[in-house]
Amino acid sequence: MRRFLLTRAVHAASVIAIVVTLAFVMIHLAPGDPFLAQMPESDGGVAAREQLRHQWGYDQPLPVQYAKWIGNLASGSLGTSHSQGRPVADVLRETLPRTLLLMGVALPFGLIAGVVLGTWQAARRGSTAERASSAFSMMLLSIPEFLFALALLSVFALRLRWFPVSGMTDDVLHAGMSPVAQALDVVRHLVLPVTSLAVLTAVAIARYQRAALLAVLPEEFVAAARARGATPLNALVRHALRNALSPLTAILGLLLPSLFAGAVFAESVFSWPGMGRMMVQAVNGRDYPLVLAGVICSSVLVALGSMVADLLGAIADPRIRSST
Amino acid sequence: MTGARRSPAVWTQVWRAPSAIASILVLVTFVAAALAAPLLSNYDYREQPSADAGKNQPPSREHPFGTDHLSRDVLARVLRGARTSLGVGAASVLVAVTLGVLVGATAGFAGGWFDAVAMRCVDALMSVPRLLLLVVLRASIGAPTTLDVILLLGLTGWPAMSRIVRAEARTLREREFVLAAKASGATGARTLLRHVLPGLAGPVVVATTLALATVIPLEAGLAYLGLGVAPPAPSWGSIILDADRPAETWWLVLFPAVAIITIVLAVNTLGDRLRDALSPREESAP
Repeated sequence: MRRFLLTRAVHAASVIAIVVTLAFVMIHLAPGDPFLAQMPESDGGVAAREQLRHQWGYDQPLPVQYAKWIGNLASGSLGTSHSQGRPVADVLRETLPRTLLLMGVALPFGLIAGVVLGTWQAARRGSTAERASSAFSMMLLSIPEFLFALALLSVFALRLRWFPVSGMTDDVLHAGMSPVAQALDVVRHLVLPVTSLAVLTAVAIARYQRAALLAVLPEEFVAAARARGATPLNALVRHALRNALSPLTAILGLLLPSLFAGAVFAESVFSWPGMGRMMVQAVNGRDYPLVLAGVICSSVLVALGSMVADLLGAIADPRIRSST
Repeated sequence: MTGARRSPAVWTQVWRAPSAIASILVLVTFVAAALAAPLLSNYDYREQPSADAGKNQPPSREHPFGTDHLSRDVLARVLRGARTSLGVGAASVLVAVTLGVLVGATAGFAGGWFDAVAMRCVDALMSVPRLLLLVVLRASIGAPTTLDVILLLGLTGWPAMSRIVRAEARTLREREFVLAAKASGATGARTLLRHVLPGLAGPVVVATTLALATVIPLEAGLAYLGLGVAPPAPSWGSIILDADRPAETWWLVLFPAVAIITIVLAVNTLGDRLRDALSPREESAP
């Protein structure tokens, strides 16, 4: 088990290192710099730009810039955001928890709903209801994340006005609320973005869960359990479902990147002030330090997530543990 | 799996599935509409006839899909957007498939250090969200041209393709006809080109179709985030982005959305049917 953890950790670290280095090189090799948009190529602009480039160190050779950046990173400094004029760490401290809240609520909901739906679909395989629900799932999977979020927004926020349109709190009233009312205010703002993420996660999980269960159901131990007098439900849950769990943990690891993408779109549609939206704005403003910090955070997040998924898989299935 | 010899049977099977025919019809219609875009609408997609009175108009006989916030005809923009969305999609998949087949076939066939290094890189790239890679690459470009977006999507799409191709190439490497070619003195390159690559055709066709079904929504999503092809060229995603108040100007969202979902469903369905036809033992995904 210890060896298993170690190899996974080394793998995760190497992935993060590759991605972060790649991101740094790609961004800094590109022609132009963050100040091109702010400083037009007019008489005073060129000199001012040179001044800024020098001030931020963009006039130095790439390896020097990289070494400096890594050095700063090692000492815990992520630099200063060009567009917001404050330390990147401050921006992250604000935006990252909001994204984690969004994903952290959506994932368990999506996971449970997906497992239940997939199990039901496998148990009722071939029935009219199952075929209809599978076709509907396929249809949902063909809808891009941002369109699904936009549909929820249009119907439940703009037309029916059941939920707020954007943001994380009420602009005007939030400050004056009691702590309980403030929490409820955030929950009200959470419902739609979380739903958009959770539904698509659930549908994707159900698809795999159904396939994993269908692979297990014909196995002899399921029939044996039935023969020993287990009820159909008992055989399904205690015997079949348990053996379909380890493919599920693998899928969970694979789904994390798409959960991340979903969060970026949900945040943009619902103006959720999290890290995904921050990164899109940073790209548009060519705010290099902010983009890089976002890359580090999200790759660490995804790497950690798939490590946890691997670990859960190893706990669920001893065969995986011994194979590495 | 020898794609060339089996293909007539495969096509008969695909042609027999009504859903496959419907998908092909949808595809052909969309491509034809994209090519004939200027003929199908009375307006130019950039034309702004009247700045005030004509903007954000609901669908009418004059403008079947309504107008946007700059009084541009939405039908003309959706049709023109089909060129961007389908063209970028197809071209970027072509880039991804070419790179993926090159890397995957070489790695799978040759093995050794190249295989180890290439697959390590592929593993690393694939454990990162593709959207994150796109955002990183996009951060280094000011205002992306159509070619930029094609390259962005193509360069982030090949790892998945190369993994599929590598797995196929590894099994093909051990098959009798490949061993026979080697035994009769064919060079490695010749065996790869003449015997292994044709055998890859089936899985590659399926993977290509499914890659297209991923890349079309991705392009629309990038455009919706404001990171896609720079204006004035419309994409389905950027038309939707132009809707400031999506509930009131629903036509700006609905028509491009229907276009995206229809084409993705069609391509996905076609991909599933092709997979059924090419690998009969595997149960098709639900």
